[in-house]
Amino acid sequence: MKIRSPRYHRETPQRYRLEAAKTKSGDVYFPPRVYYPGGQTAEPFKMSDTGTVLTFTVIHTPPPEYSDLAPYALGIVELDGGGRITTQIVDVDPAEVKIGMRVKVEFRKIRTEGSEGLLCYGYKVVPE
Amino acid sequence: MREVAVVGVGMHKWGELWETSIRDMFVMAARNAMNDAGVDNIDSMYIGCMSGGLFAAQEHLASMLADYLGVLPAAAARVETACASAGLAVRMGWMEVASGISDIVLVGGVEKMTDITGDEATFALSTAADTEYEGYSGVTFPGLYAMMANAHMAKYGTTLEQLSQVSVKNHANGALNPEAQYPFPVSLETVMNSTKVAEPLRLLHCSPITDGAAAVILCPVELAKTKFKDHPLVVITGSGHATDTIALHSRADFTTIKAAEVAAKKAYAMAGVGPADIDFAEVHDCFTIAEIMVTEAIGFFEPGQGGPACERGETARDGSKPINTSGGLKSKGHPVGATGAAQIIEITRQLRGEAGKRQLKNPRRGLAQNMGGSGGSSLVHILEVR
Repeated sequence: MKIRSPRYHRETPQRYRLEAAKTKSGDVYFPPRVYYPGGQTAEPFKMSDTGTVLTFTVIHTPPPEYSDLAPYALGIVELDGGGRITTQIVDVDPAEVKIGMRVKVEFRKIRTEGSEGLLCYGYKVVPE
Repeated sequence: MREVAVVGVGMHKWGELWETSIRDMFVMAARNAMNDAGVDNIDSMYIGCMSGGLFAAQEHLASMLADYLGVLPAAAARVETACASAGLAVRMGWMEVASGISDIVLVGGVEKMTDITGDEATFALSTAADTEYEGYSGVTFPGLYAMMANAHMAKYGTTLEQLSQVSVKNHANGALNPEAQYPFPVSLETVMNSTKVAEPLRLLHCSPITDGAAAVILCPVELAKTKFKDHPLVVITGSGHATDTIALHSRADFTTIKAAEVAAKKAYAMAGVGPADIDFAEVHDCFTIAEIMVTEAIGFFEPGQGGPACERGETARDGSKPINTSGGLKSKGHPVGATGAAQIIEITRQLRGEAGKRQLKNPRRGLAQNMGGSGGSSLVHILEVR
C-alpha cells in the first residue's frame, strides 16, 4: 500500500528518539496522547534505551515489506523506567531469544516503502 | 425492552470462492436466512465487514447489498469492529428490535478475502492491530497471538500438544459440517509438523483465509410466537460488548482476553445465568491459543486450565463443555466480517436440533463469543431454546 511521507514524518519523534509522556501517577504513554485517562496531565518523557523481553515470537510468514528479513525474532520489550515497545530482536540467533532477556535499543532501517522507495527508520533491539 | 428471537439462519458453503462476488455471497446467505424464516422483506439490516475496501475495493456495502438483496429502500448499515464485525451487527440488530424501532431485522456479515494475494491479505488483516506501533515492527496477526501463546506457556505450562489438540478437535467437528471450508479431520502429528508461521504457532494452529457470508433474521419474541412457528423458539437472552487497548503491548496481562471476560460478564448478568448454566459455546479460535484463552476468560475453566481441559476431551462434542461444534474458525473458515453471525447460526441450529451429524444431545443454552484484533474488542451473546 502506498503511504505518503507526512504519515511517516509525524511519527519520527517516537521512532527516532523514543519520545513518550509520563503522567503524575507515573504511567508512561507511548506514543504521547491528546488526552490521558482520568484527565491527568502528562510531561514529555524520553524512554530508556535498555529493557527486558516480556514475550516474543519468531516470524516465518512476514508482511510483504519484511520478506527479506524472515525468519526474524520479534517481541514486546518493557523499557527500564517504564514504557513498552513491540520491536524486532536482532543481531541474535532467533532460537536464542528468551522471555526475560535483557536488550538494548538501536536505531535501524525498518523497511523501504512504496514505489518511491522511501527509506523508513526506527527502533530495533539487540542483546544488551 | 422487548425480548428478541432468532427466527431465520442462513449461510452457504465457505471456501476460496473465485467464481462468487462479495454481493452474490451475501445475497446467497441472506436469502437462505429469509427463506428459513419465511419472510420476503425486512425492515432494516446490519452487515459486518472488516474491510470491503482493502479486500474487495468495495465500500458503501449498505447500499449495494440492500440493492442486490432486493430490499430497497430498507435501512441498512455496514458495521465494523475488525473480526468481531458480525457479532456487532447481531448486537445492533438486537438493540433495534429490543427498542421497538423495527420488527424484522437482518443481521449478518460478509468478507471476500481471496480477490487479493495472500501477502496483501496479511497486510489487510494487520490493520486491525496498531498500524504505526505494532504493524511497523513487522508483526503479523499470527505473531501477536504467538506472543500470547508464549506468555501463556511460560506462565501456566500450556503445551504445544494442547495448542494442537484444539485444532484436532475443531477439525473433527468441522468434518461433520457440510458448509465448512476444510471439512476433514487432521491428526495431532500433522498439526504439530505443519509449516511454521509465527513460533510457536504453525499453519494448522491458524484459521484460514476464507470467502463467505452468514445471515440471521431477528424479530420480537411475541411476534415469533404468532408468526414464526416452523422452528423451535430461540431467544437471545444476553448480549455483552467490551473493548480493550488496540496494542497488545499496552495490556497488563498477555495471557487473558479482558474484553471477552467483560463482555461475557455483561451477557451473563443480562441473561441471569453463569458459566455453569451454559451447555456449549462457539468461541473465536482465530488461533488455537485464542480458544484456550477465551474458554478461560468466559469462566468455563480457571486461568491456565483451558489447555488441559481440551486435552482431557472436556471441550469435545461428547465432553462437559463442547466448544466449536461447527468446526470453529479453524475448520469452518474465517471470513473475518462474517464469523460472528455464523457462530449465532451454529448455536441456533444446535438449539433447534438441526445440526445434523454433529448434533449435541438436547442443548438448552449456548454462548457465542466473537473477537476483534488481538482482543481489542469482543462480543458475547447467550441464546436459549424455549
